[in-house]
Order: sequence, then structure tokens, then C-alpha cells
Amino acid sequence: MNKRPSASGATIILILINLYLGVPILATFLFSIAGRWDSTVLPESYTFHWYVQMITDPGVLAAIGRSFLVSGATVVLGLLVVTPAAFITYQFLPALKGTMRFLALLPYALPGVILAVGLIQLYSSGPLPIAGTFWILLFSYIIVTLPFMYNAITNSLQAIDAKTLMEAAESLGANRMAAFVQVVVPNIRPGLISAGLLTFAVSLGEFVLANMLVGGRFQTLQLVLEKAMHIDGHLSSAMVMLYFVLVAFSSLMLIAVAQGGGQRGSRAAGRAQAGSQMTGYAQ
Amino acid sequence: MAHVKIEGLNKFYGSKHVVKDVNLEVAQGEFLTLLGPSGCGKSTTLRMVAGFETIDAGKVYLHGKDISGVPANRRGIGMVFQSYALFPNMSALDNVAFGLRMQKAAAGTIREKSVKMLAEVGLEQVMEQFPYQLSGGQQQRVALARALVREPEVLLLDEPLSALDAKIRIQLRELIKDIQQRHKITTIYVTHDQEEALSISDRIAVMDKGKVVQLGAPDEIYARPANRFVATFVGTLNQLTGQIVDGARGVLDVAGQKLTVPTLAGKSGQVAVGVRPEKIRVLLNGAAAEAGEVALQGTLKSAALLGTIVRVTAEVGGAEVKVDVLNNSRLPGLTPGAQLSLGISQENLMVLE
Repeated sequence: MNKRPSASGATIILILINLYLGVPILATFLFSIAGRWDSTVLPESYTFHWYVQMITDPGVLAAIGRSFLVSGATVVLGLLVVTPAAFITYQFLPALKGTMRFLALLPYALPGVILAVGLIQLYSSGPLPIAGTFWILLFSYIIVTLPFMYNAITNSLQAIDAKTLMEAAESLGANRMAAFVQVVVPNIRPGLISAGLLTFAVSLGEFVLANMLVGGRFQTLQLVLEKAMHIDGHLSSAMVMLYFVLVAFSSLMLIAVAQGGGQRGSRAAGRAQAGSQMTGYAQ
Repeated sequence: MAHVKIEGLNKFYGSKHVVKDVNLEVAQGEFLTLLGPSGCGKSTTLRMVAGFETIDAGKVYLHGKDISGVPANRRGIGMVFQSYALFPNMSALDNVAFGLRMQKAAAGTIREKSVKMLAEVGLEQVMEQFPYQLSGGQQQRVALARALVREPEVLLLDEPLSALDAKIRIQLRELIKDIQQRHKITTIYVTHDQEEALSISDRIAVMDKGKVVQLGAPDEIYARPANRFVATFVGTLNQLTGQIVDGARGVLDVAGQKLTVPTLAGKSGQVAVGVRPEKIRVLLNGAAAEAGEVALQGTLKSAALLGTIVRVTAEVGGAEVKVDVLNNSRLPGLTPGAQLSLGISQENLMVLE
């Protein structure tokens, strides 16, 4: 007899995990619609006041727009720059693999504060004076999200054995560009989607760099949120809920858009590489 | 003129010299196999012909034209990989059509040719399926169709059957041979499986440590191996080592038993002779060796039924001797420990150097 965890055991674990993940969100939601909530288990009264206040504040909506702009640009530019870089390293410069992995992990090792101070010093003057602008935030986000991008893409390339697929395509008369665009990219699409999602979520939730690099000159949602927290907990809870919904919604949109263009085959490729990608994120 | 000519090919990986001065000529429509153990340089040689590895020294000619510097996608060579290397995002049909699309052929022609090629490998039923829906054998047949549909000058196969199980391997090797002959396509095949090489090739180049050590037809390689490495790598070989006791007549003393081997005449000292298991007879009921045969006395160790044949293992002077006997010969009850007389025709004893 092979021993397997019983179905009820698995259900209990699932319920516990969902409680662990769900309770904070639920509590935040409750707080965001609570009126008076001082000495009772549940709020004494409920109100949408905080939501109305949030939505009628033009600063909040503008901040949401800025956050989406910088996060979206990070995803697009990151994918455009990192995908070819990861591919070229993997395919033609395997000797650089270790160095690239190290560089891609470096943003983890550097605290945001140090990165910010360095960037401000470097870019406040000289040939590229972009300190305090949208651009410095965008470029620093691309660096900060490198660990997700680079590793997810490299793992995808390895999972599909892109090297042999390239050779197969070349033996069939494709030049390298055609082989990369028509064979490699469609097959690493699941990896690109995951890399994009993670990058988007991380950029959207980033506070330290936004605060230090641009601050009031380019107020992102996180900056407005932080300010609201000092003013009123209910208001900031409402904003967190909005933030949560926006991230969930945009993630689903991104998945739908990316999957919609793909065929059944790319889902098959995704199935094959799901495992190795997860190890990439875990780093 | 040779269709493919490989001239003085060399490859180094760092300081490791993996392909050493390989020279080969493949005739139009010929099936040549590079056979050798892993790490002997056979795949690297093939990949240099394909254009996937740079050539450190030497040249590859196709129809007399030097293609050593031509990029892989313009060599007009078809390649089949061990790992199939099908494009996961494309159906079997689209995989086959890929090469024609790269040629910018008309859509109608692409479909017609691809379907025809898939039918030829017996896959017209599953052509809309994706690689992950196909078995390993089916995937490799798609890969074969994909390589052939462009009508390449030369077909290269790099251990195409190594990832498949035994039955499929034999089916597919017959299909490959069949299609190769029908299309009369010049083929270079790489394998480490000597049985595969013997059964499928017109000629075999046996490689060892980066060098071609013997080039010849399968029967030639099997019957007259050029050296001890080839003799032991291709097929099963019994080795008998002994001392020459009569150099004039070529008499070898193997653990006290005297064998007269005419081809040993003029030699002295310690030598080894080899003999294939199927070239040894079990002498029954005290039958004596015939003229031109040497006799060996041994003790039966085991007899294993392998299906068509029974492999009898005997001990002769401390060495093991394997004898293959057809399953239909009525052998008496073979009990371990029984005394066994073996007869070997003198001409089947190969001198190993």
C-alpha cells in the first residue's frame, strides 16, 4: 500500500493557507468600510466614505496613472532589453553565464537606499542629468527587477533547450533572427509572461526608490498611500484595497492578452517549463 | 567525385584535441555511419559538417565546393537530433512546413509537400497534433520528415534512436534505411550502437579518441577488424591470450592447451587471438575437431536463453569463452560444471594487435 495524504488532510492544509493569505486582505477590506470600530469584534457601523474620498481626490487617480505608466514601461523596456541579452548570453557566450547570473542577483544584495543614493550622485550632473525625473525611476526599476526578468528568461531558455531548437531551425534554412523570433520567442512566452507579471507587481509596489529618486516630482501610488497612512488608517485601507484590485485585474489582463495570442503549443511549452521557472523566482 | 568530402578535420576544446585529422569521402546516395564510444569525436565531426561547430583545421566539401565557412542555414543540409528538437509551439504539420516556409515557397506547395512527407513516415493521421501529444517514436518521425521535406543535399543524423526503446528503435531504423534508399539521399549517421551501425550502413567509419581507426563495409568491419579496439567494440569477442611455443607453425599455448593458428607463424612471445561467439561449435558426444579446426576443452559455467540463440559461457584456462548456439540445435542438458569440447575453425581466429 502506498501512503498518500488523505483528501481531508489536503483540504485542511488548503484552507489554512487560504486563511493565512486571505485574512489580512479581508481585515483590510473591513477596516476600509468601517465607520466606528473601537471596542467591538466587528465594526459598529459601515460606510463607503473613505472610498468616495479616495476617488474624488484627483491626486490619487493621477498617482495610479503614474504608477501604471512607470510599471508598464518597466515591463516593456525590461523585456525588450533583457530577453535578447539573456538569449545572447545563453546561446553564444556561455562563458559569461556566471557573471550575468551574479549581476542579475546583485539588486537583491543592494538595499534600495544605497542604490538610490548612488544613482542620485551619478545622474544629478554629467552627460545624463536625469535625477528626479521619470526616467531615472524607470531605469532603476529595470535594474531592480532584473533578478525576476533575467532568471525567468534564462530558465525558460534552458527548459526548452533553445540551443538545439536554434540549430534545428538553422538547419531548416532559418537565419538566426528568424529562428529567434519564430522559434525561440513563442516557446519562452510563458516565461516572458511570468517575468512581466512579477516585474509589474514589484514595480507597482515599490516605495523606497520612488520616494528617494523622484518623491513629490513624480508621485506614484505608493507615495500617496504612504502619506494617507499618516492621515487616516481607513483611507489608506481603502487605497490598499484599490491597489489590490488593480494589481489582480491587470495581472489577469496581462495573462489573457499574452495567452490569447498564443496557440495550444505554447501552453504545452509552458507546462514543460513551469517547474524550472518556479526555481527561478525562488532565488 | 565524392558528394561529401571531409579533409583533415580537426577540433580542439581548449587544450583537448577531440577530432584528429579526420578524412572521409561519402559517395552520392551512400549511407555512412560514424561509430564509436561516447567522447570519440563522432558527434563533433558531424556537427562540423552541419555547421554548428567551427572547424579548427581542415575543410568540408559538398560537390567539390568548400562549405567550411558557409553558415549552417545555407549549407543545404538536413539534420535529425537525438532529442528530436521539434518546435513545441507548432503542430507536426507546421514543424514539417517550417523549412519550406523559410524557402518562401507558395502556401499551397508547402502544405502539399508537407502532407506528402508526413504520409511517407506514416503520420498523416496525427499531423495536426503538437509534439507533446506524440510519442517519442512519432516525434522522431516528424523530425525526419521535417529534415527531408526540403530535399537537402545531405542528411545528417546524430544518435536519432538513442532516446527510444528497443522495439521502436528497430522499426524506426528500418524506416530510416527505407526512406534513405527511396530518396537516394547521401546520409551520415552517428551512433554508439554497433548493432545499429552494422544493420543500417553501407560503410562504417569506426572512431576512437578522435580518429577514424577503420573504414569499411559492415561485414568487413565485423570479420576483419583493424585492431583490438574495433574487434572488441563491434560485436562480442572472446579473447584467448597465450604464449607462442612453436613460432614456425604458429602454435599457441593457452593455459596448457595447444592451438595451431597458421596466421601466427613467425610470431613469438605473448599474443592474443580473438573469436566471435557464433564462430565456435560445441562438440557433442565426444566428437573430435574437424580438419582445419582447433579444439578447446573447457568447463560449462552457464547457458542463457536469449531467444533465437542460447549463449553458452565456458571457462577455458581461467578465461571466459562465450559461445552462441542457435536455439534449435538439440543441446543436451547443460549443467554447470560439465566438461565441454569446443571447436573453432582456424580461419575464424583473429590475431589481435
